Amino acid sequence: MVKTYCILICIILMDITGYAQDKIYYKQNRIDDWKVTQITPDLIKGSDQKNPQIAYSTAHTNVLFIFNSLGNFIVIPKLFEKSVPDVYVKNFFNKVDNRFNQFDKIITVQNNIIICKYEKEVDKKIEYTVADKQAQISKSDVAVVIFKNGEHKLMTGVDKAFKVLSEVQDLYVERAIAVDKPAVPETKSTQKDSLLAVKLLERNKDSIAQQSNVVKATGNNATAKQTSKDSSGTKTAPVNKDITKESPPKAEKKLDSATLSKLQDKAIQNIHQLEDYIKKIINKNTDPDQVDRAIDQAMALFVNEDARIEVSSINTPNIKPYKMRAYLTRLGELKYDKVDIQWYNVQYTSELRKGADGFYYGIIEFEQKFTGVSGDKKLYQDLTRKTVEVVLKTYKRTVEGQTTLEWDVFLGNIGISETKPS
Amino acid sequence: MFFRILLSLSCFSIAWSNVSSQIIESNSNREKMFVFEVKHIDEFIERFNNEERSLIISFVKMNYPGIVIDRASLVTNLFNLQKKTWVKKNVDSFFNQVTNKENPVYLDFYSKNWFAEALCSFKYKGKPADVVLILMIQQESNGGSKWVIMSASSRYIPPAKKSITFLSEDRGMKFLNPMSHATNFMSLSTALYDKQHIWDYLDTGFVNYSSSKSFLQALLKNQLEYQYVKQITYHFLQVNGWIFTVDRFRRKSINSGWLISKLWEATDESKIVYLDSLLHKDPVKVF
Repeated sequence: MVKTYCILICIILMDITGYAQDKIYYKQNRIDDWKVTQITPDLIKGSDQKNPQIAYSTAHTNVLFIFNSLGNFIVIPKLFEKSVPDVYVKNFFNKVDNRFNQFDKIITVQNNIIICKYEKEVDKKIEYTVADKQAQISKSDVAVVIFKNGEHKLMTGVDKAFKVLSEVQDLYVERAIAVDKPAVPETKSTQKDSLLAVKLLERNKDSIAQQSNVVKATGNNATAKQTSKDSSGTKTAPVNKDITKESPPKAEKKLDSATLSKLQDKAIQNIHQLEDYIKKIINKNTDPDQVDRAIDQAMALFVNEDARIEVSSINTPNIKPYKMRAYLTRLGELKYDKVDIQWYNVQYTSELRKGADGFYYGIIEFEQKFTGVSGDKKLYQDLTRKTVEVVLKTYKRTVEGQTTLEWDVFLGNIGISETKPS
Repeated sequence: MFFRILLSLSCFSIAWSNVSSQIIESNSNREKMFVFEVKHIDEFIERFNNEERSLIISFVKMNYPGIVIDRASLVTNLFNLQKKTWVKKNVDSFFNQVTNKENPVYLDFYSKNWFAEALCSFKYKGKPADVVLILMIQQESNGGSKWVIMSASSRYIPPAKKSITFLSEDRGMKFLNPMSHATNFMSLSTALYDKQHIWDYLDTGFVNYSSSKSFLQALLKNQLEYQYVKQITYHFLQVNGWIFTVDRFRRKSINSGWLISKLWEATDESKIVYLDSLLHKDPVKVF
């Protein structure tokens, strides 16, 4: 059942054409350009602007913040803490313009927002004007500049910008929604855009209402299919209007053996990275904040929050699947002075099989020896056989204006069978 | 032929042991077991088809260039060699047919003629209940594939007294990925709790079986709670004239993992009857 994250359900942007994309900032400095179409409790979903048939999705835990084409931003963890007002979220995803967007903003590393007219960069300074008075600020004091044309520029690394934007999000939202009237149309084109925005909002409302009705009527939302018309009025093929589902990427990109081999190596790297996080999580010297961070980082390696780990034991026939995050949290309660995880040399890597969603699925199986020394110097060792699902997904990458479809590797479910105490 | 091949396989094993005892160090035995074990049904198919990418072939080629593994020894070692009751005539005949050099027989992961039988632990009205799910690989128009549930049956779920009609069969895009079997169909724990999208995971013919309908009704009424998969058996109907089953044998032996557990002759008609009985299976008779 779709959870009633009312505000999240309200941010559907299906069938909007002609809008600039959102810029998605991930952990580990990755940046993508999408049009966000839906945020579910687990995933952020989007589509390619030029080819809406190409769908993207990522676990929301992978994403730090998003800028929309108006220059407004939303910090994803704050969105999920529900600390961002509904009206801002709705306006953000529907790209509703207002007067706040008619100013440049300089966000400082001291967590201030300077609403101004940006003038220019001179050496290590930025010059700006506030109430006809000229001023300047050192670039090293600036985290982000947001321009009134909707563009923005990070003056720090993504992680630092994330910290600052997290701090100023509330203030920014307060300022943005204080200006609650639509922007005064200055030109015909902006008037047209505003009208379009209103129409789109109305259309989205209808779409939401339609979908709500479908849920009520059938108790099973899923696949309300309908014949739609494109902007030219031409009838198009039935379109799956189900916003809870990911559209398969239409443009299939064949994976050559070199790419496959590279991705398999990446999958193994991800597994090793997961081990490093696990070591950190169960090390007694890791402070609780770092444990939480390591859990988040580990979860970013997984395809979504639904990934599970199955644990069985030679001592009991029962097998229990745990959600990965719950499992990692439970691991955090075990504390060892010293941890060693050793791989046996060989691993089995399956063929990659294309799934119904167009992504590729495979497994890697290996044996591992875990050694932990507890505070009272007790030695714990076990040998486990792990089967890790790997998922190859497409994402869009833009480098110097050139956009390409790339593949990335995520981990899926993990089966573990304890072979014996070592 | 079968026993001759067995002999050659054991020679191969001895050769392996000699080499490995000289070269492989402390963890050699564990590593050897890992390489030899047929770890997944995918690996079973790889070995049956003598695929170059098979771990055992690539491992031996890389580490012991003097040893050559042929298809005959690979296929032989896919039988449960500890079973004493093999019918020699049948095994030899099957073996000769599939390894025929002019007209070899290969298995196809994407073919419709093989099925996974998953014995699952459920709770029915709070009490433990075994349910058999039959799953098969289904290909999609985009060239991708998925596992779908073809039928369900359980002696613990009583047949419905009235005919069951389901109001909605809306199908969306949720699915069990084509590698779900490798993690013991762990994804079933997501699928069988996701009642809103349950139809996505079911074959269109699922409700043709009364036992499946009773199962689905109980599931949707929250009388059934999925626990885990206890055991999997694969049924292969792909080889002309034969049916064989593959089960997992966990033991410390180079002949371990997913191995042929049963083999018998079958005409096309008897395959249809077999499939029909499989889809209506009463777990009591089998397990």
